[in-house]
Amino acid sequence: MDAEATEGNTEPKTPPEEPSGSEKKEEDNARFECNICLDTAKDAVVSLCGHLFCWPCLAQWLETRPNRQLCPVCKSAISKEKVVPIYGRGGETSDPREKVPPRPQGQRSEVPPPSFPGFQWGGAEGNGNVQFSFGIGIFPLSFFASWFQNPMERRPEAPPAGSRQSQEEQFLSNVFMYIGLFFLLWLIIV
Amino acid sequence: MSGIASARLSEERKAWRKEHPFGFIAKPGKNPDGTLNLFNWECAIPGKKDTIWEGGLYKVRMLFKDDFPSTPPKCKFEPPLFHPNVYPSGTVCLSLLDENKDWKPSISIKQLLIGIQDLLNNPNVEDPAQAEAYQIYCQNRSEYEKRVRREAQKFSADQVQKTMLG
Repeated sequence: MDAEATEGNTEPKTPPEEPSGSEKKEEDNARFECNICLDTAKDAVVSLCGHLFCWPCLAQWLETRPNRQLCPVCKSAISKEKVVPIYGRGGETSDPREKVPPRPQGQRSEVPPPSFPGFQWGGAEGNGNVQFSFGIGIFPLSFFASWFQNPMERRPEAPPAGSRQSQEEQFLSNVFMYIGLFFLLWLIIV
Repeated sequence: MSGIASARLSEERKAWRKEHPFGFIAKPGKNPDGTLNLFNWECAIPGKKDTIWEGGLYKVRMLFKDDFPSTPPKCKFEPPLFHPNVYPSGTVCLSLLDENKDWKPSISIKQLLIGIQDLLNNPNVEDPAQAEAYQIYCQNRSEYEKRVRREAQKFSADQVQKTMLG
């Protein structure tokens, strides 16, 4: 007989009241095991539903189902933003979620805006006001021109791709694009 | 990333050796050079007591992919079993083993084997996988039970255990 198959049957189960020293320790450790690799959780994160994982394990699971991110234990909805990193004493203090980006996110760089030196609206003297121009007569150019503000005033650096701020900015820029498109359509129809 | 998969599989093996349900067998297969192959397990599921499956021990091979436990293993009866939810190839059709249905990474090998054992006596007529067992099950229940009992005899626990454990 193979020891592997029988070994477990004969082992008496320790009652929960008075476990022996080593077994108790093992039981305690089991409470801190990752629910995916079943080993002690490294770079631990906990979901809002309370389930513990290694971040690398969870990141891989989330990556396989980007559109349907469910807790590997109870199937409630989870996401990268909604898991909490756990910092034990003496452990690392960096957020594990930052450490294992499963892969770098796609980045797109903005095309530099074409410049029309003849149509600098306001701002050349440095008063730096935000300007809206509705010059229908020179419509395509003025539409571009309204994008430019005071060239002296530096714009803040773009936030790192994938960060929350850049997502919000992306969203805003989409909103403005749709407003712009709507305006164009309206011009054409009228 | 097979790192997670092999780490998890060796934890599964550890857990199984520590404790496993009575009568079940699960062990990693061997490579030609004698080393363990954690991605290919040889398992056996006993028929539940007081069911027509009692007395049999049914061999199942579990095949894991590199992205386990994100995806479930493929479970295959070897040889194929007479059961409405087992494909002619032997592959088990069970929602627990479907990554788009009930599979989740926290399910252990032990839970899968118990789930398959449960399926034996509770076939799911909504999801037939082989014509023969499905038709007989639906049309002639006593014939079905006779066939199953014959399977249980064919794969009697004593004999299968001998072949598996040597």
